[in-house]
Amino acid sequence: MSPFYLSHTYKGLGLLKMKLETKSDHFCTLFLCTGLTSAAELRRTVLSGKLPCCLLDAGMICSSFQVMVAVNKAVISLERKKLVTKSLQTEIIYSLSPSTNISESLRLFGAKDDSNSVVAVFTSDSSDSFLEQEESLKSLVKGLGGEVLQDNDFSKTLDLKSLKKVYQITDKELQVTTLEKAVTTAMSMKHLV
Amino acid sequence: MASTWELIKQGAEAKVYRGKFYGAPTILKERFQKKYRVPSLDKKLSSRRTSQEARSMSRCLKLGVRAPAVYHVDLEKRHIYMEDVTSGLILKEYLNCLDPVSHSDSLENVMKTVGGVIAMIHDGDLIHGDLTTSNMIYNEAESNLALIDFGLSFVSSLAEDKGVDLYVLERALLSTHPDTERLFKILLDSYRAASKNGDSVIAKLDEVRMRGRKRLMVG
Repeated sequence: MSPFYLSHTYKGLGLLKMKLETKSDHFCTLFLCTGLTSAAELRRTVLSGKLPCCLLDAGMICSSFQVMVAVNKAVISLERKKLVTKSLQTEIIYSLSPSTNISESLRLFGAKDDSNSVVAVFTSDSSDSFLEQEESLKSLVKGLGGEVLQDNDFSKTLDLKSLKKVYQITDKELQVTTLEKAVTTAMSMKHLV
Repeated sequence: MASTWELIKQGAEAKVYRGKFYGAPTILKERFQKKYRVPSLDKKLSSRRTSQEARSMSRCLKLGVRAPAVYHVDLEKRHIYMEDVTSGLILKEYLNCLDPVSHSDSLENVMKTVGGVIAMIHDGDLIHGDLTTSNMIYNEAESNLALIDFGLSFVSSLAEDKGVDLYVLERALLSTHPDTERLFKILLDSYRAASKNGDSVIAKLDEVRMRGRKRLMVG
């Protein structure tokens, strides 16, 4: 039996292509948007279905690896028809959380109306649509006084104190591992018996 | 383009692969299906052991001891994706490279580190279950030790279980390295100094030495 193959390649700025070797191909890309006067407008657009992405609170994201691990989990649930939430987008937010409480997870990791920085995650079964979506995201963000960062440098927007509290990461732990690794470890402990 | 996973080890219970997971160097441990076992039982045992192993790694990190970080656990496929620890040498290889006479300082340092690390996990009631020099990765420059392979790990506060854990290590050392009696003594001294109730564990170790790893079930 061959193991579960996964791969990623970087394609241009901020574009992360993810492919799962299962029935269908899945691609994923993420953007860090900062300086928003309010994320309310952006959230409305996403909730109305005009922009097919999920919006994360940037304060709770320490690296793109953290997001990729969550997307990976969500896509696996989708393919096995085991989504716990109503859509892949909310499943990504839920996968990030160490808690099994859905509404709490969405509250902690989803973008809020008063967020200044958000992470937009697009998933698709082909990477063709990404360019168009990137453009519409950029113009929306610009209209709200913000910008889409080119380098996905999460250290600028990270709320370390809250992140450590939510994932219950101790300083003792951080002496022997990195924040990113402590976070994925905490994410993986969910659902273990 | 699918990334490739290279088989690096095959045991009785699992296959271990090395590869990349979203860019991170990763070890994939796959508990394969045992065809001779009733499928429902096989599934239950595998997923329980898989989650037990992942949770032990997390507990180890929380106790401040280096262990592979967990990236992803897939209970259905019995997969654990974990960090590939490359910060040092497998302790077994490291010890083999050392000459007992000219490197006696280094040898003593390693033993002290190992004793201290085991005391730390035992104080947190984590029993590794398979303490051998192949399951430790030592970084000489920083003199730190990482533990790997938590496949037999469990949580227990009993001095008995901790004693057996040490006994397994003693046997592994005796069978592979020369002059271990003196070295193991150094390890135990460091364990005793670092551990909260080292004395009772070492008293248990003496008991275990007399009778072997398995407890006698008489009466």
